[in-house]
Amino acid sequence: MAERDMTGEERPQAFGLPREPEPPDRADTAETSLARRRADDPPRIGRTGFDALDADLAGLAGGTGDVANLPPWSVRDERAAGTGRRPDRDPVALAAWRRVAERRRRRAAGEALDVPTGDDATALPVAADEPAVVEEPVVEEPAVEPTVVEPTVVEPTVVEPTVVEPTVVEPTDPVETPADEAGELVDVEDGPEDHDPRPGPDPEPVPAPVVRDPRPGPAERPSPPPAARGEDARPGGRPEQGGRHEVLLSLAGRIDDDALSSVRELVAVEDEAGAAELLAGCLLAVGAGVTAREHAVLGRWFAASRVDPELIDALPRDPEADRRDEHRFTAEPPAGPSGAAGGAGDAVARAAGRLPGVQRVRECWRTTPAGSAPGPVPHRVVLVETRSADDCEHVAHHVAHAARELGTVSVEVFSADAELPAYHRAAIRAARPLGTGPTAPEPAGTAPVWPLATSPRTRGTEEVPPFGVPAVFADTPAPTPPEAEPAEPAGERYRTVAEAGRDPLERRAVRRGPVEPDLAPERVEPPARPGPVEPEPRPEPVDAGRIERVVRTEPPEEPAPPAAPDETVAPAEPAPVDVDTEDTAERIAALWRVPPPDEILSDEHPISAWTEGPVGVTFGGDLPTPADTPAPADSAAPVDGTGSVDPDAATGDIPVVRADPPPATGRRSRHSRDETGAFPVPEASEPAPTNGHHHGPEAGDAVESPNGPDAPADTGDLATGPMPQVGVPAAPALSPSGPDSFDSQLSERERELLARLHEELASRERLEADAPDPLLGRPGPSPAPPSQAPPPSRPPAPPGSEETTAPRPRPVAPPGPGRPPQPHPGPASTNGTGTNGHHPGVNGHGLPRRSGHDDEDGTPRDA
Amino acid sequence: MERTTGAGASAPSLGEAERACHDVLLAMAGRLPDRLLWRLRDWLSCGAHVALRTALPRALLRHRVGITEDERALLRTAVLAWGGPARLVDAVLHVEAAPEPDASFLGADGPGWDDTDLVLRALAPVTGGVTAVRRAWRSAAGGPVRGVLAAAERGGEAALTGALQRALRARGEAHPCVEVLGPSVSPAPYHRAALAAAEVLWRGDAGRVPTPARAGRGAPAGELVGHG
Repeated sequence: MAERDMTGEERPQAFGLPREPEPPDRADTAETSLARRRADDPPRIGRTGFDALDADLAGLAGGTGDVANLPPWSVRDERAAGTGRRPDRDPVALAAWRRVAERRRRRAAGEALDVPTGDDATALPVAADEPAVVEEPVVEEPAVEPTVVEPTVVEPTVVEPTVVEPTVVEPTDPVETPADEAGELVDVEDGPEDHDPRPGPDPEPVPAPVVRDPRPGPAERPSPPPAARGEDARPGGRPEQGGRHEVLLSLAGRIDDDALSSVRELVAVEDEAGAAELLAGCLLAVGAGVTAREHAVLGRWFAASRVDPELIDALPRDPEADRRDEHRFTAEPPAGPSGAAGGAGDAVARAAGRLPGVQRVRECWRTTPAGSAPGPVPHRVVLVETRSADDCEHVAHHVAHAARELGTVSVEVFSADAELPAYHRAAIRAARPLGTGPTAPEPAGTAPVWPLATSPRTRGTEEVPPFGVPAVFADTPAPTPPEAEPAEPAGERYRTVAEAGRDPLERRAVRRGPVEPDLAPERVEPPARPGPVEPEPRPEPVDAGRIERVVRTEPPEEPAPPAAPDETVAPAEPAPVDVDTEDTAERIAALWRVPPPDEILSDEHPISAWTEGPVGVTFGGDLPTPADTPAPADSAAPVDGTGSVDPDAATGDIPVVRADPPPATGRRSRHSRDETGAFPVPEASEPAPTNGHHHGPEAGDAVESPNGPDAPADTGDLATGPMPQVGVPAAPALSPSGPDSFDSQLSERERELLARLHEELASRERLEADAPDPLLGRPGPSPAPPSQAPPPSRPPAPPGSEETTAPRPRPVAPPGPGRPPQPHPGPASTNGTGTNGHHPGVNGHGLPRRSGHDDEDGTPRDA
Repeated sequence: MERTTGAGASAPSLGEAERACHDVLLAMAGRLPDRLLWRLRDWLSCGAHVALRTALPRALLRHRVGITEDERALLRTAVLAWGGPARLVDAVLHVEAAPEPDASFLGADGPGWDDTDLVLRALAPVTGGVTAVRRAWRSAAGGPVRGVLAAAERGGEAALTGALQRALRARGEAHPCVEVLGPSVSPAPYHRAALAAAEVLWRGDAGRVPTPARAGRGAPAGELVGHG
């Protein structure tokens, strides 16, 4: 009934004229948009723009398209908003916000709800504003499709819960109690309706206050008002949970361990009735008494689950039930076979370690039987301490599941601040941290042991991996323990984003400052990865604390990467980067142009490639040393392994990846940097094309930004083109020939333009040579002289010049080891020769090649 | 409705209700999961009738287990005697005859004697009402499952079942399968199959503890029942 009302047919009347007109329009838009979208656009998310989104949302009633994943109510709200679009906001968040607002309004004026139900014109005024949103959607939906109705219905339901929340605690009681037989039907179908009307008339007062009061008292069962039903599809569900977990905790030792485990599992899967039934039967069978508090909680729970009400009454009362210390525990596992299954504890510990809320895991053995049909007696009891009570149920479920497969193990989960029953207090007194091994019996209950800690903890710091809930751990940045543990971590390590390394730019900074020696060792380690080995250096601590902040605060550690011994020079020139603002801009633009997909996937992420490119000069130096020489920091990694490099070294993993010395061969993927740096020089020359300024080709790119995309081919060629150049000798050849096909293709006019452009750029470079690097803020090293010269004289030819500009937008390059200081004969000559002669000049930035970039980008993921 | 035990019948005594419930639970062997069945039997042995009056019919409903009319009559007897809702009994699905067991039993191929067998053989003579104890191995995915078949005199079947279950639980069997057959009970297909493959652990008429010997398939089905 109410649903009908909600459908909107009636609504129009209820709400008044103004609403009606809008709906149709929207419906139209929605349909058209959907049609259009299906026809033309493949669904896009994000960039497309919100126009499409709005349209989609409008038509969303059917649940088609991208928006399908959005909750119906959010969609509806969107439409409502549709009138005034808010592209910027997340529709879901927006919807949530609106719901809250609506509720408040409704509460303020109870009529709102009445309106839909009815007939009231009176409500109109009040509802007009607020409901407007609601109404519209409703109306539209019907127009669009029958499905529309659903969304409408759903919304109300959703809304209510929210509403309830404010009073949360209170409602819960009512909810539970109410759940009666009849309730379910209502919930399923009418739920929405009920909700709507209820809130309107007497929403606030009804459930909350009344129910609560009764709660305290034991006699809730009878009271369960209808209100509860309406709210909960599942009567028993959420309301009682709080007290329920505590009661289940206190029942430990009073019923069979496996029965209790089953009850908890059923609760976790929300089989309230099954859980209640099993629990009641076990309690009855064993004749266990319950305290008044337990009785009250169970009473509500059973009533909500529609379990035989006499069950609870049949339970004997025993005020001291949870205070009796009837069980005995021992930290020592039984000598027999059961004790031999020590693996169970570790497995449980690992399972617990994966859960975010777990603080401690301990275990002990209960030597006394529990329940009417107890199992074998030394019984393993695992005590899991969570950060908050909210974590208990799900943690219990997960850990119990892990334990179940390993035999009979009781898992008791409680929050750190919980008041424990005698059973658990006794268990804790005898428990020892799990994971430390049987040898370390720490009866001390409270001693914060990070038993599993090693595994969980490490993760904890890293956090991201498991659930992507870094915040949590961040909060509990496992105090000191981590430090101690670091040594242990040998076992499992997960690379987090933080570990992956910081922003390339940051790295640079780090490199400079840091102690190279340390780094060097670390570098070596990375390949080895084994955490244990690393211990000496600082890496371990780093690993443990890899938290971003650590990294930032302690840049010194990372410096290690620079460690690249050979490239000491690099560190010296860290600043360089791009002197030219324009160059930088171009590079950035280039980044957006057309990075071939392959590259993206490959190590040679365009970014990295570019980085190298620009360095041109530096590379030149590297070139000679090529492949093997650690020359370019990045490349070095692959070659030496140790030398490696860099930045990424921090991450450690990267080095391994880089190992691809193949690049040494000189061939690289397009943009790829010289990669190994094997022959940086030649590549540098290659990039030249990119640079555009000097070379015709690049110039072309620069000038013809639009062509940019086309450029791919060109650039690609160029990039790939380098292949031939790869060989040291080749490079020079290319550079001179500078005028690639591009040049030849250019018209005179274009060439003139290019020439001008180059001149301008050159002049700017000169002027800015000393200027602080835009990105780094440091004055660029100005090796540029050579580059500068070339531009004017031979715009197209000097490939090296290109490097300066185009190739690698990112100045980030760490102080290339290879650069100035290392003027290896080979490379230097190449540069000087003129192959890239520009390089030096062009690169004025003297960017070190940053294989690291790639690593950063790519590695983290891998990690 | 062969039986008149139905709702309209005069209120059955608790003993009668308990016996009826035991018979129903006995008949559910192989039809309800062991995990559930042993617990229901345990409750019965402990006198948790209030829990059983709803738990048993609900278990049948949840697992969609059909019952014959005889079984329904027994169920109704128990449930109504304990004040349970007749509607639950009526809601249970119907089958014309008890289905053949899905389980298969390992005859001579099953594992031999073990510690638990010895414990059972030791306890049987001193346990009142037991006339014979057999053990069969039922094949299961996780490995053979022990099934204990005890022949008992009339009365006390439920209690005996509970006791044997606890003994097995103490021996580490999480879901003990104990079938206590009274003298008047006609074994279900499941029990017949089990008896056919069962091995005698102890027999009351033997005068002394028999040497471990495998009864094998040659053993007459329903032998235990006859001893009553």
